[in-house]
Amino acid sequence: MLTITVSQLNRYVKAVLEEDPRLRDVYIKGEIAGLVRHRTSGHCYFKLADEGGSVKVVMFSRHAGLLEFEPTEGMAVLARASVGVYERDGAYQLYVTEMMPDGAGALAVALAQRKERLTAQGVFDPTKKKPLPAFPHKIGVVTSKSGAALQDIRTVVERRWPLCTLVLCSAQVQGKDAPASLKKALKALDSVDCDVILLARGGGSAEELWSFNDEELVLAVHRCQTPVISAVGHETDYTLCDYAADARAPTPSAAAELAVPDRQEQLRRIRGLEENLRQMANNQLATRRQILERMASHPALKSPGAMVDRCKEKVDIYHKALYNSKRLLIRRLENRLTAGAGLLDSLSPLRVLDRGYCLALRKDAPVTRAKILKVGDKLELRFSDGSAMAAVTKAAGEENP
Amino acid sequence: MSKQTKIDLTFEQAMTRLEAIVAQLDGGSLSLDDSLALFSEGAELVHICNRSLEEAKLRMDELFPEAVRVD
Repeated sequence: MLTITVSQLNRYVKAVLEEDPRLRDVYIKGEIAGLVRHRTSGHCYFKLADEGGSVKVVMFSRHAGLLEFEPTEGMAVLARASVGVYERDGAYQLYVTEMMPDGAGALAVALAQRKERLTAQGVFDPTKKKPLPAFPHKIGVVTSKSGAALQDIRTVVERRWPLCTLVLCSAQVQGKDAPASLKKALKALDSVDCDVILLARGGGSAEELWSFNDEELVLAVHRCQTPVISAVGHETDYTLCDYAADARAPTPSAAAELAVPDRQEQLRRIRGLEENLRQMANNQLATRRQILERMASHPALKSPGAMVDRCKEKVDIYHKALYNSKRLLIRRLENRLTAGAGLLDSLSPLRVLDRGYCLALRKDAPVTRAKILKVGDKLELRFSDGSAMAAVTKAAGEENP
Repeated sequence: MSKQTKIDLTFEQAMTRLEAIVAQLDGGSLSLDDSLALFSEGAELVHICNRSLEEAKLRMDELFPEAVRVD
């Protein structure tokens, strides 16, 4: 009888199970029970159970961290795992590497949970949306090189706004590698000087569009420095990228219309401005012409002769006034002269002589005092009608000589 | 503004300048010489804008993500 230790037994069973290729990669359906997430390590421990039994499950944090949904108690899931043995407890368990919600609406559940989580992070905040440029020069396009989306975008931009450059950075738009590929292309275009980036994909099934719900890709759209317009699928399709983008368009063509102005509209705008320009210039000229006409119709320019006549009239008036004032002045002077002559005449000694007085002169000087005379002085006595000579026979100061 | 720099104007810059010119002319109080100079500059801008819209050809470039350093 072979006797072995417990450890030996566990190691042997572990080896047997791990050798079986059918147990290395299995998909197991079940419901989550007794879920515990280790606070520090992030590892998840739970059981997968159905009506008949249960099995212990370990999901290490490096795998649990990649889950696209939040596992909850009782949730039906589909897990991919390898079967192993935990030697210490002698228990066999599943090492789950991937897991997804199972059953109808499972993807919807996962999507709803992811959306809620990203919303909480502010990824879809409508106030954080970047404005789209009015006149983009360089438009980045992330899409499949062979898809119809690229052709649609190209056609619309060529028709509406050929003044720009389309920069294609092609990416896989469906399949397992699509999210990483899309994210890489987006980042590449964000690092060159694009004015706006179109993230586009033509229509497809929900599964085909699923890449555009990838959390990493959605975060990349959110963090993109360049405004992003998302156009995935048809009008009724919404992906998380649509919500994270700065603008959402129902189709790639619509995204292109949103990204560029319309040439015809701009041509109309130019025509309007040109019309204004002409109008303004004409107004300026018309204003000047009016001023000129007003000046030209001024009498000074219109009939200069009349102006001269008027000036002549004025000269005449002034001339007359001058003349009159001269005469007035002369008359005033004449009057003063006459008055002065009259006064002079009345004061003349000759006039006194007329009244019978006579003037005594000694050596041609008038004698005005008696006492200056001496006896023997010769006097001339002047009368109004002539002179006579006289001699002083008795002086006033010599009573008795 | 010289002719060389005019040609380098983007459509948007040319339109902005054109609108500014119209507003300036509308404001009046300009000398006739200034008005006419603005008018001829505006007419030239109209020509530039029209031509850039009519003659533009869409360019297509391709960028390979491998060629760009992405963290």
